[in-house]
Amino acid sequence: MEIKITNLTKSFGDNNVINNFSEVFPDGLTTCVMGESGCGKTTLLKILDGTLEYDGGEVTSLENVKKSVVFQNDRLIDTHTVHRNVRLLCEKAQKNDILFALGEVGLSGDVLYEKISNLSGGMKRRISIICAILFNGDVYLFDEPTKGLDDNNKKNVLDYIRNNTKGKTVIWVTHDKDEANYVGDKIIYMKKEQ
Amino acid sequence: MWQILSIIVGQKILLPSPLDALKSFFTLLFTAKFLTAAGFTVGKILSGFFAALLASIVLVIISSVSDFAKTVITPFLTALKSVPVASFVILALIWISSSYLSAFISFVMVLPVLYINLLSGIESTPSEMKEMAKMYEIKPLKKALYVFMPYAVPYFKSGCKIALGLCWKAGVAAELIGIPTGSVGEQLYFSKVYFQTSDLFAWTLVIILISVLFEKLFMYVLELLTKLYERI
Repeated sequence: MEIKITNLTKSFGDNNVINNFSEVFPDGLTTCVMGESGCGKTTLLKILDGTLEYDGGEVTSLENVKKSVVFQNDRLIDTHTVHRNVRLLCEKAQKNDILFALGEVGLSGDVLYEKISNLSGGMKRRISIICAILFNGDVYLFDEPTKGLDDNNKKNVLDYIRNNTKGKTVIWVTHDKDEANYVGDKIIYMKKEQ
Repeated sequence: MWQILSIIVGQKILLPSPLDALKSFFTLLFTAKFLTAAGFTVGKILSGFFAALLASIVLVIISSVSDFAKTVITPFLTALKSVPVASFVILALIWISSSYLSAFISFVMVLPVLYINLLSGIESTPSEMKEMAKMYEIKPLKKALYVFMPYAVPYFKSGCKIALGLCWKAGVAAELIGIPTGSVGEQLYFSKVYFQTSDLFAWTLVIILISVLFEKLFMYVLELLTKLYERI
Protein backbone atom coordinates (compact mmCIF):
# COMPACT_ATOMS: atom_id res chain seq x y z
CA MET A 1 0.00 0.00 0.00
CA GLU A 2 1.07 3.56 -0.69
CA ILE A 3 1.60 5.80 2.33
CA LYS A 4 1.06 9.49 1.73
CA ILE A 5 2.11 12.23 4.14
CA THR A 6 1.07 15.83 3.55
CA ASN A 7 2.25 18.84 5.58
CA LEU A 8 2.96 16.76 8.67
CA THR A 9 3.76 18.77 11.79
CA LYS A 10 4.86 17.53 15.18
CA SER A 11 6.26 19.45 18.15
CA PHE A 12 7.33 18.46 21.63
CA GLY A 13 6.67 21.61 23.65
CA ASP A 14 8.68 24.37 21.95
CA ASN A 15 10.73 21.86 20.02
CA ASN A 16 9.36 21.73 16.50
CA VAL A 17 10.59 18.34 15.32
CA ILE A 18 8.67 17.92 12.06
CA ASN A 19 7.40 20.94 10.16
CA ASN A 20 5.29 20.69 7.00
CA PHE A 21 6.82 17.41 5.93
CA SER A 22 5.33 15.86 2.82
CA GLU A 23 6.31 12.59 1.20
CA VAL A 24 4.94 9.59 -0.62
CA PHE A 25 6.14 6.11 0.30
CA PRO A 26 5.39 4.03 -2.80
CA ASP A 27 3.53 0.75 -2.64
CA GLY A 28 5.73 -2.34 -2.66
CA LEU A 29 9.01 -0.44 -2.45
CA THR A 30 11.61 0.16 0.23
CA THR A 31 12.07 3.82 1.12
CA CYS A 32 15.07 4.68 3.25
CA VAL A 33 14.77 7.73 5.46
CA MET A 34 18.04 9.44 6.26
CA GLY A 35 19.00 12.60 8.08
CA GLU A 36 21.00 13.86 11.02
CA SER A 37 20.08 12.91 14.58
CA GLY A 38 17.05 14.78 15.92
CA CYS A 39 15.57 15.51 12.50
CA GLY A 40 12.42 13.52 13.34
CA LYS A 41 13.01 10.15 11.65
CA THR A 42 11.99 8.09 14.68
CA THR A 43 9.14 10.51 15.38
CA LEU A 44 7.90 9.92 11.84
CA LEU A 45 7.96 6.14 12.35
CA LYS A 46 6.13 6.48 15.68
CA ILE A 47 3.44 8.54 13.98
CA LEU A 48 3.14 5.88 11.28
CA ASP A 49 3.01 2.97 13.72
CA GLY A 50 0.28 4.81 15.63
CA THR A 51 2.06 5.21 18.96
CA LEU A 52 2.41 8.99 18.61
CA GLU A 53 -0.22 11.60 17.78
CA TYR A 54 0.69 14.30 15.30
CA ASP A 55 -0.20 18.00 15.52
CA GLY A 56 -1.12 18.81 11.93
CA GLY A 57 -1.21 17.59 8.36
CA GLU A 58 -2.47 14.38 6.85
CA VAL A 59 -1.13 10.85 7.05
CA THR A 60 -2.53 7.71 5.41
CA SER A 61 -4.10 5.83 8.28
CA LEU A 62 -2.40 2.55 9.11
CA GLU A 63 -4.81 1.83 11.94
CA ASN A 64 -6.18 -1.40 10.52
CA VAL A 65 -3.06 -2.34 8.62
CA LYS A 66 -0.86 -5.19 9.84
CA LYS A 67 2.47 -3.58 10.69
CA SER A 68 5.79 -5.31 11.25
CA VAL A 69 7.94 -3.00 13.31
CA VAL A 70 11.55 -3.10 14.42
CA PHE A 71 11.87 -0.45 17.10
CA GLN A 72 15.03 1.49 17.84
CA ASN A 73 15.32 -0.37 21.16
CA ASP A 74 14.58 -4.07 21.12
CA ARG A 75 11.26 -4.91 22.69
CA LEU A 76 11.84 -8.45 23.84
CA ILE A 77 11.00 -10.00 27.18
CA ASP A 78 14.25 -10.84 28.95
CA THR A 79 12.90 -13.69 31.06
CA HIS A 80 11.44 -15.53 28.06
CA THR A 81 13.32 -17.72 25.61
CA VAL A 82 13.89 -16.78 21.97
CA HIS A 83 11.25 -19.34 20.97
CA ARG A 84 8.63 -17.86 23.26
CA ASN A 85 9.39 -14.27 22.28
CA VAL A 86 8.99 -15.10 18.61
CA ARG A 87 5.88 -17.23 19.15
CA LEU A 88 4.36 -14.51 21.30
CA LEU A 89 4.48 -12.04 18.43
CA CYS A 90 4.05 -14.48 15.58
CA GLU A 91 1.60 -17.17 16.67
CA LYS A 92 1.74 -18.97 13.34
CA ALA A 93 5.52 -19.31 13.27
CA GLN A 94 6.54 -22.95 13.66
CA LYS A 95 9.75 -24.16 15.27
CA ASN A 96 11.25 -24.93 11.86
CA ASP A 97 10.41 -21.44 10.56
CA ILE A 98 12.23 -19.91 13.52
CA LEU A 99 15.22 -22.23 13.14
CA PHE A 100 15.46 -21.40 9.45
CA ALA A 101 15.25 -17.66 10.19
CA LEU A 102 17.94 -17.97 12.87
CA GLY A 103 20.26 -19.55 10.29
CA GLU A 104 19.47 -16.82 7.77
CA VAL A 105 20.59 -14.08 10.14
CA GLY A 106 23.70 -15.98 11.19
CA LEU A 107 22.50 -17.37 14.51
CA SER A 108 22.84 -20.96 15.63
CA GLY A 109 19.73 -23.01 16.34
CA ASP A 110 21.09 -23.52 19.86
CA VAL A 111 19.81 -20.09 20.87
CA LEU A 112 16.18 -21.15 20.29
CA TYR A 113 15.62 -22.04 23.94
CA GLU A 114 18.07 -19.51 25.33
CA LYS A 115 16.72 -16.71 27.51
CA ILE A 116 16.85 -13.26 25.91
CA SER A 117 18.77 -11.98 28.95
CA ASN A 118 21.63 -14.34 28.02
CA LEU A 119 22.01 -12.93 24.50
CA SER A 120 24.24 -10.12 23.27
CA GLY A 121 22.86 -6.85 21.90
CA GLY A 122 23.51 -7.93 18.31
CA MET A 123 21.74 -11.25 18.87
CA LYS A 124 18.73 -9.50 20.40
CA ARG A 125 18.61 -7.17 17.40
CA ARG A 126 18.47 -10.11 15.03
CA ILE A 127 15.71 -11.76 17.07
CA SER A 128 13.69 -8.53 16.85
CA ILE A 129 14.12 -8.58 13.08
CA ILE A 130 13.04 -12.24 12.89
CA CYS A 131 9.90 -11.34 14.90
CA ALA A 132 9.06 -8.53 12.48
CA ILE A 133 9.62 -10.66 9.38
CA LEU A 134 7.74 -13.73 10.66
CA PHE A 135 4.83 -11.50 11.69
CA ASN A 136 4.48 -10.90 7.95
CA GLY A 137 2.94 -7.43 8.04
CA ASP A 138 1.52 -5.51 5.11
CA VAL A 139 3.79 -2.59 5.94
CA TYR A 140 7.29 -2.77 7.44
CA LEU A 141 8.66 -0.01 9.65
CA PHE A 142 12.33 -0.36 10.52
CA ASP A 143 14.16 1.99 12.86
CA GLU A 144 17.88 1.41 12.39
CA PRO A 145 17.46 -2.38 12.21
CA THR A 146 21.17 -3.10 11.82
CA LYS A 147 22.23 -0.96 14.77
CA GLY A 148 24.95 -2.75 16.75
CA LEU A 149 25.66 -5.44 14.15
CA ASP A 150 29.10 -6.21 12.77
CA ASP A 151 29.67 -6.06 8.99
CA ASN A 152 29.32 -9.79 8.43
CA ASN A 153 26.04 -10.12 10.35
CA LYS A 154 24.81 -6.88 8.86
CA LYS A 155 25.11 -8.34 5.35
CA ASN A 156 23.17 -11.48 6.41
CA VAL A 157 20.46 -9.37 8.02
CA LEU A 158 20.13 -6.99 5.06
CA ASP A 159 19.74 -9.92 2.67
CA TYR A 160 17.28 -11.65 5.00
CA ILE A 161 15.11 -8.55 5.22
CA ARG A 162 15.37 -7.78 1.52
CA ASN A 163 14.41 -11.32 0.49
CA ASN A 164 11.44 -11.39 2.83
CA THR A 165 9.96 -7.96 2.15
CA LYS A 166 9.83 -8.10 -1.63
CA GLY A 167 6.68 -6.43 -2.90
CA LYS A 168 5.89 -4.91 0.52
CA THR A 169 5.93 -1.25 1.50
CA VAL A 170 8.97 -0.72 3.70
CA ILE A 171 10.01 2.44 5.51
CA TRP A 172 13.57 2.08 6.72
CA VAL A 173 15.28 4.64 8.94
CA THR A 174 19.06 4.53 8.77
CA HIS A 175 22.19 6.65 9.17
CA ASP A 176 24.22 4.40 6.92
CA LYS A 177 24.44 5.53 3.26
CA ASP A 178 25.78 2.17 2.02
CA GLU A 179 22.92 0.37 3.74
CA ALA A 180 20.39 2.77 2.20
CA ASN A 181 21.90 2.27 -1.26
CA TYR A 182 21.86 -1.50 -0.81
CA VAL A 183 18.25 -1.94 0.33
CA GLY A 184 16.50 1.26 -0.72
CA ASP A 185 14.44 1.68 -3.88
CA LYS A 186 14.07 5.30 -2.87
CA ILE A 187 16.07 7.40 -0.43
CA ILE A 188 14.74 10.55 1.21
CA TYR A 189 16.56 13.02 3.46
CA MET A 190 14.85 14.74 6.36
CA LYS A 191 16.12 18.12 7.47
CA LYS A 192 16.46 19.16 11.06
CA GLU A 193 14.10 21.99 11.99
CA GLN A 194 15.83 25.02 13.46
CA MET B 1 22.06 -12.91 76.69
CA TRP B 2 18.65 -14.50 77.37
CA GLN B 3 20.26 -16.93 79.85
CA ILE B 4 22.09 -14.10 81.65
CA LEU B 5 18.91 -12.02 81.81
CA SER B 6 16.89 -14.93 83.22
CA ILE B 7 19.56 -15.48 85.91
CA ILE B 8 19.49 -11.76 86.82
CA VAL B 9 15.66 -11.69 86.93
CA GLY B 10 15.64 -14.99 88.83
CA GLN B 11 11.91 -15.66 88.44
CA LYS B 12 10.63 -18.25 85.96
CA ILE B 13 7.24 -16.55 85.80
CA LEU B 14 8.78 -13.32 84.55
CA LEU B 15 11.53 -14.72 82.36
CA PRO B 16 12.18 -18.45 82.07
CA SER B 17 15.63 -19.60 80.94
CA PRO B 18 16.15 -20.80 77.36
CA LEU B 19 16.55 -24.31 78.75
CA ASP B 20 13.14 -24.12 80.47
CA ALA B 21 11.57 -22.81 77.30
CA LEU B 22 13.16 -25.58 75.23
CA LYS B 23 12.08 -28.18 77.79
CA SER B 24 8.49 -26.90 77.54
CA PHE B 25 8.77 -26.87 73.77
CA PHE B 26 9.84 -30.52 73.52
CA THR B 27 7.28 -31.59 76.12
CA LEU B 28 4.66 -29.74 74.09
CA LEU B 29 5.63 -31.49 70.85
CA PHE B 30 4.52 -34.85 72.22
CA THR B 31 1.15 -33.76 73.59
CA ALA B 32 -2.21 -34.20 71.87
CA LYS B 33 -3.11 -30.55 72.35
CA PHE B 34 -0.05 -29.53 70.31
CA LEU B 35 -1.25 -31.31 67.20
CA THR B 36 -4.87 -30.21 67.54
CA ALA B 37 -4.04 -26.57 68.35
CA ALA B 38 -1.28 -26.24 65.74
CA GLY B 39 -3.41 -28.05 63.15
CA PHE B 40 -6.40 -25.82 63.87
CA THR B 41 -4.43 -22.57 63.66
CA VAL B 42 -2.32 -23.56 60.66
CA GLY B 43 -5.42 -24.71 58.79
CA LYS B 44 -7.35 -21.51 59.50
CA ILE B 45 -4.51 -19.09 58.82
CA LEU B 46 -3.46 -20.80 55.62
CA SER B 47 -7.01 -21.02 54.33
CA GLY B 48 -7.27 -17.25 54.89
CA PHE B 49 -3.94 -16.72 53.14
CA PHE B 50 -4.81 -18.83 50.10
CA ALA B 51 -8.29 -17.30 49.85
CA ALA B 52 -6.65 -13.84 49.86
CA LEU B 53 -4.13 -15.00 47.25
CA LEU B 54 -6.93 -16.11 44.95
CA ALA B 55 -9.05 -13.02 45.64
CA SER B 56 -6.11 -10.68 44.99
CA ILE B 57 -5.47 -12.29 41.58
CA VAL B 58 -9.16 -11.98 40.64
CA LEU B 59 -9.33 -8.36 41.84
CA VAL B 60 -6.12 -7.40 40.02
CA ILE B 61 -7.50 -8.90 36.79
CA ILE B 62 -10.70 -6.88 37.25
CA SER B 63 -8.71 -3.71 38.04
CA SER B 64 -6.47 -4.24 35.03
CA VAL B 65 -9.35 -4.42 32.59
CA SER B 66 -11.58 -1.77 34.13
CA ASP B 67 -10.39 1.67 35.23
CA PHE B 68 -13.66 2.16 37.08
CA ALA B 69 -13.16 -1.03 39.09
CA LYS B 70 -9.60 0.04 39.85
CA THR B 71 -10.71 3.42 41.20
CA VAL B 72 -13.17 1.64 43.48
CA ILE B 73 -11.06 -1.33 44.61
CA THR B 74 -7.62 0.29 45.08
CA PRO B 75 -8.54 3.06 47.57
CA PHE B 76 -10.74 0.60 49.49
CA LEU B 77 -7.95 -1.94 49.87
CA THR B 78 -5.37 0.76 50.60
CA ALA B 79 -7.58 1.96 53.45
CA LEU B 80 -8.09 -1.64 54.59
CA LYS B 81 -4.31 -1.98 54.93
CA SER B 82 -4.26 0.71 57.63
CA VAL B 83 -7.08 -0.71 59.79
CA PRO B 84 -5.74 -2.17 63.07
CA VAL B 85 -6.10 -5.92 63.57
CA ALA B 86 -8.03 -5.35 66.83
CA SER B 87 -10.80 -3.42 65.03
CA PHE B 88 -11.26 -6.27 62.58
CA VAL B 89 -11.25 -8.84 65.37
CA ILE B 90 -14.07 -7.08 67.22
CA LEU B 91 -16.09 -6.77 64.03
CA ALA B 92 -15.39 -10.37 63.07
CA LEU B 93 -16.51 -11.59 66.48
CA ILE B 94 -19.84 -9.84 65.90
CA TRP B 95 -20.21 -11.15 62.34
CA ILE B 96 -18.84 -14.71 62.44
CA SER B 97 -18.06 -17.60 64.78
CA SER B 98 -14.75 -17.29 66.64
CA SER B 99 -13.54 -20.54 65.05
CA TYR B 100 -13.27 -18.76 61.69
CA LEU B 101 -11.68 -15.68 63.23
CA SER B 102 -8.04 -16.34 62.30
CA ALA B 103 -8.98 -17.31 58.74
CA PHE B 104 -10.94 -14.08 58.33
CA ILE B 105 -8.23 -11.91 59.90
CA SER B 106 -5.50 -13.57 57.86
CA PHE B 107 -7.62 -12.93 54.74
CA VAL B 108 -8.25 -9.22 55.39
CA MET B 109 -4.66 -8.53 56.42
CA VAL B 110 -3.10 -10.32 53.46
CA LEU B 111 -5.50 -9.27 50.69
CA PRO B 112 -4.44 -5.58 50.44
CA VAL B 113 -0.72 -6.44 50.53
CA LEU B 114 -1.00 -8.99 47.73
CA TYR B 115 -3.37 -6.85 45.68
CA ILE B 116 -1.23 -3.72 45.87
CA ASN B 117 1.98 -5.60 45.09
CA LEU B 118 0.52 -7.53 42.19
CA LEU B 119 -1.11 -4.43 40.70
CA SER B 120 2.17 -2.48 41.05
CA GLY B 121 3.92 -5.30 39.20
CA ILE B 122 1.41 -5.23 36.35
CA GLU B 123 1.67 -1.43 36.19
CA SER B 124 5.47 -1.62 36.09
CA THR B 125 5.26 -3.19 32.61
CA PRO B 126 7.00 -0.65 30.34
CA SER B 127 4.66 1.27 28.05
CA GLU B 128 6.82 0.20 25.06
CA MET B 129 5.95 -3.42 25.78
CA LYS B 130 2.26 -2.57 25.96
CA GLU B 131 2.57 -0.75 22.63
CA MET B 132 4.30 -3.75 21.15
CA ALA B 133 1.58 -6.08 22.41
CA LYS B 134 -1.02 -3.84 20.79
CA MET B 135 0.85 -3.56 17.51
CA TYR B 136 1.41 -7.29 17.21
CA GLU B 137 -2.23 -7.95 18.18
CA ILE B 138 -1.39 -10.25 21.08
CA LYS B 139 -4.54 -11.85 22.51
CA PRO B 140 -5.58 -10.78 26.07
CA LEU B 141 -4.78 -14.09 27.78
CA LYS B 142 -1.38 -14.35 26.10
CA LYS B 143 -0.73 -10.70 26.92
CA ALA B 144 -1.51 -11.31 30.60
CA LEU B 145 0.58 -14.49 30.77
CA TYR B 146 3.59 -13.53 28.69
CA VAL B 147 3.80 -9.73 28.61
CA PHE B 148 2.56 -8.60 32.03
CA MET B 149 3.45 -11.64 34.12
CA PRO B 150 7.25 -11.40 33.82
CA TYR B 151 7.06 -7.89 35.29
CA ALA B 152 4.48 -8.85 37.93
CA VAL B 153 6.26 -11.95 39.25
CA PRO B 154 9.00 -10.18 41.31
CA TYR B 155 6.38 -7.90 42.90
CA PHE B 156 4.13 -10.88 43.58
CA LYS B 157 6.95 -12.80 45.24
CA SER B 158 7.89 -9.92 47.53
CA GLY B 159 4.18 -9.40 48.32
CA CYS B 160 3.87 -13.08 49.28
CA LYS B 161 6.90 -12.85 51.55
CA ILE B 162 5.44 -9.85 53.41
CA ALA B 163 1.97 -11.41 53.49
CA LEU B 164 3.22 -14.71 54.88
CA GLY B 165 4.83 -13.02 57.85
CA LEU B 166 1.78 -10.86 58.38
CA CYS B 167 -0.82 -13.64 58.28
CA TRP B 168 0.78 -15.57 61.15
CA LYS B 169 1.22 -12.51 63.35
CA ALA B 170 -2.29 -11.17 62.70
CA GLY B 171 -3.94 -14.61 62.80
CA VAL B 172 -2.48 -15.62 66.16
CA ALA B 173 -3.12 -12.13 67.62
CA ALA B 174 -6.75 -12.49 66.54
CA GLU B 175 -7.00 -15.90 68.21
CA LEU B 176 -5.59 -14.43 71.39
CA ILE B 177 -8.39 -11.86 71.45
CA GLY B 178 -11.20 -14.14 70.25
CA ILE B 179 -9.92 -17.31 72.02
CA PRO B 180 -11.42 -19.89 69.67
CA THR B 181 -11.52 -23.34 71.28
CA GLY B 182 -8.58 -25.59 70.39
CA SER B 183 -6.40 -22.90 68.85
CA VAL B 184 -2.81 -21.80 69.46
CA GLY B 185 -4.25 -18.44 70.55
CA GLU B 186 -6.21 -20.21 73.27
CA GLN B 187 -3.03 -22.00 74.44
CA LEU B 188 -1.20 -18.66 74.59
CA TYR B 189 -4.09 -17.28 76.63
CA PHE B 190 -3.93 -20.24 79.08
CA SER B 191 -0.17 -19.73 79.44
CA LYS B 192 -0.83 -16.16 80.49
CA VAL B 193 -3.73 -17.00 82.84
CA TYR B 194 -1.86 -19.84 84.57
CA PHE B 195 1.47 -17.95 84.60
CA GLN B 196 3.14 -20.69 82.54
CA THR B 197 5.61 -18.31 80.93
CA SER B 198 7.83 -21.11 79.64
CA ASP B 199 4.79 -22.51 77.76
CA LEU B 200 4.24 -19.05 76.31
CA PHE B 201 7.81 -19.10 74.97
CA ALA B 202 7.34 -22.66 73.72
CA TRP B 203 4.15 -21.79 71.80
CA THR B 204 5.83 -18.69 70.41
CA LEU B 205 8.66 -20.91 69.19
CA VAL B 206 6.09 -23.21 67.60
CA ILE B 207 4.51 -20.28 65.75
CA ILE B 208 7.90 -19.00 64.58
CA LEU B 209 8.96 -22.44 63.37
CA ILE B 210 5.71 -23.12 61.52
CA SER B 211 5.75 -19.66 59.96
CA VAL B 212 9.40 -19.92 58.85
CA LEU B 213 8.95 -23.47 57.56
CA PHE B 214 5.84 -22.58 55.61
CA GLU B 215 7.40 -19.42 54.20
CA LYS B 216 10.47 -21.36 53.02
CA LEU B 217 8.30 -24.10 51.52
CA PHE B 218 5.93 -21.66 49.82
CA MET B 219 8.72 -19.52 48.40
CA TYR B 220 10.53 -22.64 47.19
CA VAL B 221 7.41 -23.86 45.38
CA LEU B 222 6.88 -20.36 43.95
CA GLU B 223 10.49 -20.31 42.73
CA LEU B 224 10.03 -23.73 41.10
CA LEU B 225 6.83 -22.56 39.41
CA THR B 226 8.60 -19.41 38.17
CA LYS B 227 11.43 -21.48 36.69
CA LEU B 228 8.92 -23.84 35.09
CA TYR B 229 7.02 -20.86 33.65
CA GLU B 230 10.21 -19.39 32.22
CA ARG B 231 11.15 -22.69 30.58
CA ILE B 232 7.82 -23.49 28.92
